[in-house]
Amino acid sequence: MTENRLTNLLLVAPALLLVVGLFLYPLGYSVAGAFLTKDGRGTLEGFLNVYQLYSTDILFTVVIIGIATILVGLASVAIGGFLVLGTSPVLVGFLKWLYRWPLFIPFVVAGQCMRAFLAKNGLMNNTFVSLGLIEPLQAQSLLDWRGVIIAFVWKQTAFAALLVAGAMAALDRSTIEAAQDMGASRPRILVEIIVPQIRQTLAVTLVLSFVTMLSVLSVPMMVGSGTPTMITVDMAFRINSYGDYTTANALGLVSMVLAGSVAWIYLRHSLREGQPR
Amino acid sequence: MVLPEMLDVEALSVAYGANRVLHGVSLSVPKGEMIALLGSSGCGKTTLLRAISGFTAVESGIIRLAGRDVTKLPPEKRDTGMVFQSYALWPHMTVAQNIGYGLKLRGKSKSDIAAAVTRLTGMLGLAGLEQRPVTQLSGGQRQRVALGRVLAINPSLLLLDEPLSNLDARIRLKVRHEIKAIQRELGLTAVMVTHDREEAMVMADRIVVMADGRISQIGTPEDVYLRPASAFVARFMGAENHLRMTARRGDGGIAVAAGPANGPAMLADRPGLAMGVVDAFFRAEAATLVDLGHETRNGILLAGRIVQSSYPGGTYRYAVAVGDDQYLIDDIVRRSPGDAVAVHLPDDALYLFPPQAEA
Repeated sequence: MTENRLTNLLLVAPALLLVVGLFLYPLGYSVAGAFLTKDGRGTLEGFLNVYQLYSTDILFTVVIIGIATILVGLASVAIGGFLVLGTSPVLVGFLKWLYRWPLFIPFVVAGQCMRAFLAKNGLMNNTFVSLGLIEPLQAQSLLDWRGVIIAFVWKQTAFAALLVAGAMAALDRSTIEAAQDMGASRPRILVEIIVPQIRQTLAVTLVLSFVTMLSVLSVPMMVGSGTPTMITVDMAFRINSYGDYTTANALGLVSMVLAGSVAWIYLRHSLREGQPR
Repeated sequence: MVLPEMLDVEALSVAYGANRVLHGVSLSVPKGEMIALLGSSGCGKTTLLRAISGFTAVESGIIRLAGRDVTKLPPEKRDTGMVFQSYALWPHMTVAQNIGYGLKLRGKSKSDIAAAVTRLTGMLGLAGLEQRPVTQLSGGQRQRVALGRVLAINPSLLLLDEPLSNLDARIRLKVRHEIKAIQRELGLTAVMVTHDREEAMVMADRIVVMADGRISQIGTPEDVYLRPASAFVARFMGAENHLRMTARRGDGGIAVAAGPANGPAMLADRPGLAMGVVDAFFRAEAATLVDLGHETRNGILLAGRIVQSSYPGGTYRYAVAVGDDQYLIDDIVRRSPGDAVAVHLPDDALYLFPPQAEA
């Protein structure tokens, strides 16, 4: 019995050490750092700074990522719906090939692409001008909160669509055909038959997207301009400009609470999945 | 004025890529009739049903529903209602929501939908289960919800894709009669796909036997059972025992020459049957076992030996070796393996066809 226990412990030890060493220890260190000054005394100054200086940025972050998450959800459902319900095999095949590309492009590159695309004299405005859709004087830069949302949605939709389209493809096809047979149009089938059946996958996808976007530094730094800005930029600023790890850690803790609140939904779902129904 | 058939399929061909699965199938179903598409796996029966419902594209041919050409229409515009093999109920909806969905699509008021749901759940024995999620129903109840969902929209044509195959044997016997009763009561025109011969016989007014993407025979259950048009149909309808023999016309009938295991015999004439080598097919229950030395003027006697016996209920089932062949024979008399017996094949139990390549 004792030998068995020892064997089990040995088996689990490498994984446990990895989790403790690479995740729990740095996390605990950062959490503790939010309550400690440089010389190791306890303080709440970091949180005071967060409250006084960055409340607007926290709200801005939640709103930006909230909007981006909703748009990612809508776009991924639209792509998944087209892949499942599309009648043109050529178009479906093309979209299937195309939509995954952003998955292989890092956020920093996506940010750079958006700078070139959304600037006042960028590709988008130039195209609109050359098509006669707008006058050159009407061109305006989207390198602000709108650009951040566009970059997030562009990059994250690929990931979300991959999961959502996979869940849709795994549905019993006859449930879709049954609705069609009843006389339902394709949009109604998508909204009333398909999405309710994959809602748990969709929820998990959106939670993961929310958390991913919350942690991105490059996009708001490259595409966003001025204030308010996102929490990640504030954290980088506190460290690079002031060496103020206390406030940076406090901002990190706020970030974790935000991520944790949506992760709670994810965990709840995972637990429910594991239970017999 | 001649009323059009409710369903009219004309020279329908369907191909999946280079593989053609339906070869110019033609079929008519008058209003109020229920037909069964019967055949083994891969014969094209489900493809035909899906082509009628609009889920499978047609290569050539025409499908008319109540006189209207629907060949190119998508399923949602055909006015057909399909009961799927897997029932295809929407798991996120209750019984009432599943049944009422088609009416909701048609813009009916909530009170109309509720009234229709109440009527249908009452008719289908689902009363009291309206608010239950369909995932908490038994197989038989799910099957009824699937039927109720289709009946709610009162389609011109009811399509049933192996509707009973997911039910256990006892419930299947009950539900097949229920579906038939509802179809008759409402005067529904219905096309059912099944590979179960008995199910087709009990439920359908006419049976369409299919093989290799073609219709082998269309007829009433009695027609198809008693007067099979080909060796394939005879075998599919249960005449699995096969005997090859030599025959010639003479003395007002067919004279069967003596073979290794049978004596000479006279059979009634089968007009149109070419003489020479002939394949005879017969059912296990149509033959009887008699003692060796028994004589008869009706049919053929084969000398053989019992090699196996079993009791499936009602009668005994024997495997009888006759020369190199083995036949399954049902008989009410109990005998033992090793007994020498004669197999008596009455004239009217024998279906004679020209020899088949594979027979």
